[in-house]
Amino acid sequence: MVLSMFDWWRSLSKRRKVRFWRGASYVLFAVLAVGFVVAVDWGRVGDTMFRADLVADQFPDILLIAAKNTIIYTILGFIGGLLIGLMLALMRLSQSKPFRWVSAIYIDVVRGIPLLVWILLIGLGIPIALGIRVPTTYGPGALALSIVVGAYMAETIRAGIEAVDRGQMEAARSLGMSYSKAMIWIILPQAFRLMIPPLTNEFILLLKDTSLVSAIGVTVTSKELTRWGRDGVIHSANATPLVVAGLVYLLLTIPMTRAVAQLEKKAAQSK
Amino acid sequence: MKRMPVLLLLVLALALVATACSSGGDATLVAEGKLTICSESPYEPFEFEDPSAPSGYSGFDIELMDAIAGELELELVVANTPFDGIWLQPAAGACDVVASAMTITEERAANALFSDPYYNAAQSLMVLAANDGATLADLGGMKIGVQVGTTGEAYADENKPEGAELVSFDEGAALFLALEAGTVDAILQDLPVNFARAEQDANFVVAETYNTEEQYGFGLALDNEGLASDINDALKSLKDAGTYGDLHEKYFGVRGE
Repeated sequence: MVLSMFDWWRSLSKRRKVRFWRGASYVLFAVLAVGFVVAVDWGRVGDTMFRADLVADQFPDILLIAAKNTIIYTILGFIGGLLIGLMLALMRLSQSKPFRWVSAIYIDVVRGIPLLVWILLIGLGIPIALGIRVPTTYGPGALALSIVVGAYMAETIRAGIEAVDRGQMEAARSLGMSYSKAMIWIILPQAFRLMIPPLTNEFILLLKDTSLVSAIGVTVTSKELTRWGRDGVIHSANATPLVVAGLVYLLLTIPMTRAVAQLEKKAAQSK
Repeated sequence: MKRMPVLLLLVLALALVATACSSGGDATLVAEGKLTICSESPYEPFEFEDPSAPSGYSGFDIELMDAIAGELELELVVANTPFDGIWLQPAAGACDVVASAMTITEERAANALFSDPYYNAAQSLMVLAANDGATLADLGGMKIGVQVGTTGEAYADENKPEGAELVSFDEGAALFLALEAGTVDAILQDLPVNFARAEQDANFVVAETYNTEEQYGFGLALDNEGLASDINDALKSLKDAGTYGDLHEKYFGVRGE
């Protein structure tokens, strides 16, 4: 019996073997899917994770307060990160050894420590060490995000600059442009075009990472989406607010993810 | 046909999430022979890490719970759990009992079964030593640090003066750092916790106390009445034997009742 199955298997062509495995995986997935639908207590899921009245309760404040704050943190962190990242990338590519070292050390140190630790260190550590309070409600969180995101973006920006054809810089220099002029007017505009998809991905990652800024304290008006959802869970003893917060994240991230996919497709075609 | 596996993968991922979420049941104990408690540590003097203790944690709650576990001939296991929504954990099957300096409130009692009260607590305002003598009423325009989901947060929200702003933190441990850092001007939380900190650290003082007549209780799943009555019996016999009084004296200087 076993032997005959073995013979049968060996008699199959490569293409039929591939089709066999594909069919087997469809069956497996279908079984799992049906098992899932049957196993889940949908009534209980509805009651504890998606209660209609609690869904309605979240609006409009979840958008006007929580999503707004998530977006503000993201935009502030992104702009700050872009400036820091650009500076680090240019330092990394410069002729000066100390500049290259400082940039390399910054990038390694910042990327080597989790964001949550940085947020606590910057939000609570800097005031203790230096006696300086970062002003405004969004200040400490946005600063921490910028410092960390800058390190990640530096590598993206450097790769973008390096991807621009060397001949562009040489041509610009031979026309009498200075290095910095050529960088600003010739190289960076082309590099940023290449960087749009990876930077959009950074933006999406950052948008989700803003959930960590609540570790250094939030006020009623500075709550972002995750904190909003968690507070809602405490007050309603129900997971619905967190589920709704998750859906609002999707509402923000999916259009961007789709846009990146389109951009990447376009870039691939134009090559 | 090309799209099928992606869709199915998604369903599979959802299935994994759902099974992870919908665990739990009607067992009296989540682990055989063990009393598993959810507790947010550090929250001195109620819970803190202690490598020399068998459970890895010590404090008034932990030692009392350990004694109760001893009465019930069970082994104590501590699960360090964030405080926000901690009273929902037994119903989710994460532990048998919440022992985390938790005040008995109506809101919480709607979703958790409480044991008899085991500690009388109050709220208090902590400020930097330089601002000793400050009262809650003085804090107009200032920032008051609280922990999310605590009775201190609720008290501060109801009684804060005009213009004062509440800054809520995910965990109690960050509160003292924030006061030290000056990102908040005061902390409003349970008196014994502020008091224990002020004793250890000359930078901080307890400026005001509020007699809220709060009582701590152990929280269980609503349907776990059997374990609740076992715990109440054990608590009573520990009180009768003087073990409770000894513990109370060890942590708070007086014997309590």
